[in-house]
Amino acid sequence: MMGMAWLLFRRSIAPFALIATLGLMLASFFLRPLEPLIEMTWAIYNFNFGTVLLAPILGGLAAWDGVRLSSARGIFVARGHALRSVVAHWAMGVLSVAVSYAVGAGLVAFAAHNSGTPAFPGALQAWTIVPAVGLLSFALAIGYVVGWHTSQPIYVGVVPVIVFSAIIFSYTVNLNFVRVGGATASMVSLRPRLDVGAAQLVFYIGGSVLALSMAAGGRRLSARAGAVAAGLGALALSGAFLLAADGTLETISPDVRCVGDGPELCLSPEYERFRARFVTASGPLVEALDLAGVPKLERLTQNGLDVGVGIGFIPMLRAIDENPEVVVAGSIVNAFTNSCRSRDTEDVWDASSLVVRWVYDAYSAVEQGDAIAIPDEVAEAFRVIAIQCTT
Amino acid sequence: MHYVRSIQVVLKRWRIGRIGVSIGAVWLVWGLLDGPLDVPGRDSIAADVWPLAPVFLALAIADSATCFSHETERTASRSLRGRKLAHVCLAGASVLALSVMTPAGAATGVVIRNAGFLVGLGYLLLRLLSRPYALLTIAMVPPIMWIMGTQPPGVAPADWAILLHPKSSIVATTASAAAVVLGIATLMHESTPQILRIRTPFGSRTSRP
Repeated sequence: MMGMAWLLFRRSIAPFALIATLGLMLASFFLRPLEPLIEMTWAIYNFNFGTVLLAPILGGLAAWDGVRLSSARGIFVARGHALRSVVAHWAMGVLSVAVSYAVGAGLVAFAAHNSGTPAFPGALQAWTIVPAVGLLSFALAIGYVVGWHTSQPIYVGVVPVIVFSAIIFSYTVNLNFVRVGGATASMVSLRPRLDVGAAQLVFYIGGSVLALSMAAGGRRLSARAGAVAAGLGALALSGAFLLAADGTLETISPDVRCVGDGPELCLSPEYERFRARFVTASGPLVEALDLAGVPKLERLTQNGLDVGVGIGFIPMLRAIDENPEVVVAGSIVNAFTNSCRSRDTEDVWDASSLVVRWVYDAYSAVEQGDAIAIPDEVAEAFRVIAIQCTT
Repeated sequence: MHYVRSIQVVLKRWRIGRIGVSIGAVWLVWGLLDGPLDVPGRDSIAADVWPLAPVFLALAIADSATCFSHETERTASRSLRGRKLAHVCLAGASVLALSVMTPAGAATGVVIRNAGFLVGLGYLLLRLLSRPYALLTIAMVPPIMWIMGTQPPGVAPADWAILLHPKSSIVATTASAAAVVLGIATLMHESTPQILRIRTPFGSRTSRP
C-alpha cells in the first residue's frame, strides 16, 4: 500500500504541487506590503489570497496530468479503472497541496508572531485555510477532468485563464463561493464566518465530486449516477446558502483598551505596542484644532461598532512603521466627515475635502518638524462641518 | 483539386479553427466588458482586463506552432523554413484581426503591442520549455502582472507589468519588439536547446519498469 502511494506520489503532479504551493503562496504573501503581519487574522486571511494565482496554476498542472492519463484511457476503461486512476491522482495532488499549504500558513503565522503580534492563530483563524485548500482541490478536479476528456495540451493554458477569470469575477460581484480571502485593510472588528467557510467547503467538495465523477468512462454507470446526484445536491444546497449569505466576514466588537483623554485612544491588543507613537502623532493636530475652536474629539477607536459624533474609527494602519501620523490624521478626518449625517450637502462636501487636503499637508509639515498652522478658510471649514454634524 | 485537400490538411494540422475560436474568445471578453451585460465593478476592472485578453490568441498560436515538432511536418517535402514563415504571417494576420476589433475606449496600439508580446513569448517559450510548461507560463503572465503589478487607482502599474502600461510606454514597446524578434528567431532556428526537457512535472512514465 505504501509502495503504491509512493509510486502514485512520484508519478502524479504531487511533488511539483508540493513545491509550487509553498513557493507561490509564500512569494505572493511576502512580496506584497507586509502590514497584514500586524494582525493574526489579517495575516492568515491575506495568505489565503494567494489562491487567486495558485488555483489557476494547479488547474493547469492537473489538466496536463489529465492529458497524460488520457493517453492510456483505452487500458483504464477496458479494465474498469478509469475513475479510480483519475481520482487517485487527484487525491494525491490534494494531499500534497494540503500539507504544503498548512506549512506555508504556519510560516506566515510564525512571521506575524515574530514581528511582535501577540498570540498565535486561534481555531477560527486556522480554520480559514481549510476552505482555501478546498478551493484548490476543486481547481485540481476541474483540471483533471478537462485534461482527461479533451486530451488536448492547449487546455494546460486555457484552464488557468478560465479559473483565474472565474475567481476574479467572483471578487468583483461578491460571489462567496469562488474566493477565500484577501483584505487590503485592517481586519480588527471583523471575523471570518464559520458557517460561510463550512458552506464553501461543502461547495468545493460537491464540485470536485461532480467533476471527477464525469471522468468515469465505460461501466459502472449506476455508481456514477449516485456521485453525480450527491455532487449536484451539495452544490445546490451550499450554493443557495452562499448566495443568500451576506459576505464571508462578520462584524464583531473587538477587545479594545481605552486610555487617555482628548481624545481617548482605544486600541486592540495587536496595536497596543504602537500606542506611544499614536499619542505623539495625534498631539499637534489635536492642539491645533483646539486653538481653532473646533469641538473636542472624544475618542479614537478601533471598535467598528462604536462610531458616533466626535468619535473616529481607526480603519487601517497602512505603512505603520513609516508614518503613523497619516493614520491618525486620517482617523481624525474620518471623525469629522464620516459621523456627519448631512455630509452629502454641497457645502459640507467642499469643507470636508478642504479639511482632508489640509490634514495631509499639515502632517507632512509635522514630519519635517514644522509647527501646524490652521489657515482661516480651514478653521471655517471645520466649523461648517461641526455645525452640520451636531445639529 | 489536390490543393483543396492541401488546404484542409493545413487547416487541421495548424489548428487554424482553434486560432479562430481564440480570436472569438478575445472578442467575447471585450464585448462582455463593454457590452450590454451588467457587470458590477466593470469600470474599475475593464481598464485592466482588456489589454490582457489577447492571451487567448497567444495560447492558440503557441499550440498551433507545436506542429513543427511533429513528424509529418518535419518530413514534408516543402521547405520547413518557408512553412515557419507562413506560420509567423498567420500569427501576424491574427494580431491584425484583433487590432481591427479593438473596443471603444481601448488603444489599438496597445492591443497590437500586447498581442505581439504574448505571441512572441509563446514562440520563444515553446522552444525553450516543454509544451505544458510553455502553455502554463503564457497563461500565467497576465494574471501575475495584474495581481502583483497593479497599484491603487491613479498610480501607474509596476515597471515590469508591461501589459498594463499605456500606449506611450517605451519599456513595453521595447519588450514587445524584443519578444517578437526573439520568438521568431527561436522558431526559425532549428537547434535552439530546450532548457527544461522533462515531459512530465516529476519523473517519467517510462523511466522505470
